Amino acid sequence: MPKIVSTHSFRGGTGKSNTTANLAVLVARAGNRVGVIDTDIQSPGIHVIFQLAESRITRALNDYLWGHCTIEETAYDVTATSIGTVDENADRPRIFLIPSSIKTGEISKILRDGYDVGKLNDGFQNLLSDLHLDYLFIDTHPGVNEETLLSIAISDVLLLVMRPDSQDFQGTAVTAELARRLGIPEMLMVVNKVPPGMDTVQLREKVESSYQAEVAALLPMNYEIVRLASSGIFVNRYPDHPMTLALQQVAARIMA
Amino acid sequence: MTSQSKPDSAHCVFVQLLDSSQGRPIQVWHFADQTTITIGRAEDSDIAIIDQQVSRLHAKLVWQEGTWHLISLGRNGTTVNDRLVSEVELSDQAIFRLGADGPMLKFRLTKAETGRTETVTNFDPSMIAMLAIDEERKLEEVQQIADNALFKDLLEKTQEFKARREKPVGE
Repeated sequence: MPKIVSTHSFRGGTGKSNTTANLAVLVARAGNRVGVIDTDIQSPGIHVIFQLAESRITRALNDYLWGHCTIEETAYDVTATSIGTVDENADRPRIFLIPSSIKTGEISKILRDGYDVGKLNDGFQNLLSDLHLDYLFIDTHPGVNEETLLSIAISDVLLLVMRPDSQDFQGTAVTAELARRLGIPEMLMVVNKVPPGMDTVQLREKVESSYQAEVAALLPMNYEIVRLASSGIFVNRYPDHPMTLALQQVAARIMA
Repeated sequence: MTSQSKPDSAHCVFVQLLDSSQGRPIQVWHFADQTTITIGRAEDSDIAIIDQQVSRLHAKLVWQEGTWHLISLGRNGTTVNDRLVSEVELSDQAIFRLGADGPMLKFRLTKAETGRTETVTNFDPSMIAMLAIDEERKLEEVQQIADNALFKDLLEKTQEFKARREKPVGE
């Protein structure tokens, strides 16, 4: 049975989209068909990491939600740019990206008019079946809103990405509690941007005891990802970096 | 060891790891009675820093002829005032960086404090201690959301949504 993995953070700037994109690539490279859907309709951005040119995006998630097309028509095969050359006829690995519209008019229209969250759920299910996905990664909007809660509610795994920061700490606790009430089967914590010198043993213990959830990774604050400026997949560019090794462990945890 | 080959026991060395964006110390090491302090990624370094730009043995602070010297050994070099150095005499409050834009450290000479004459490694406990959850506030916020009709509706529909996993709907 395919798995749905939601990535969420209480605040922006935690590295949520980068984490999602890199995990999706690692899981795909392990020989899977993976979909990545950007439900951060208000501030879409994961397409930049996948180097999907804006001129190529003729249909986005917004078009599906307005009933202009099917969800599969909004899926772009980004295997070549994120994994490399794969035999055209090979089913696996494959990676598909479903971007949100980057047109400001379309963003404001959907925020003003809203959309049917049930239709979003139908979209998730149809992506799984029609694209024969093994994994669907949902990159959510920071904070708590209806589509975030829906994504959490239907997920098999929730990755909560946070920084070692007091505001993140409090806000993440609210999301974690809501996720429990929604019956999330598995919740994993990813602590990102850990400053050099911070005691990681203490930090891990603190996070695990505070949230009663497993810390899947403590990712160091690193200069290379800043230099990359979201214009590419970090794990491809830096295969031996400690951050890549930590993300590989999270990917293995998701696939377990 | 003679008094000439050892730093004045009334003084000791503090090395601070600085937050690169704000310049405030985020970790402090305190040394007394040492004539060599190693800095590197290796766990057994006196100052161990895990960072991609830091070599296993990146630099040494060495007491030589009455002053402290910084000796760079790492592949990515060490800079003082944005200039690569191989060996340089360090003055009090000197700031140096491991790698071109790696971790930044501040060197401080200070008088030994009572009760802190032994070599210790101090992590600033306030960094992790400040991470705390206000349980009362959390439950209040959770309840506000959970009492919302949308949340209740979602809770009811969750099972139905999950059931559709095995039976996709037409679009």
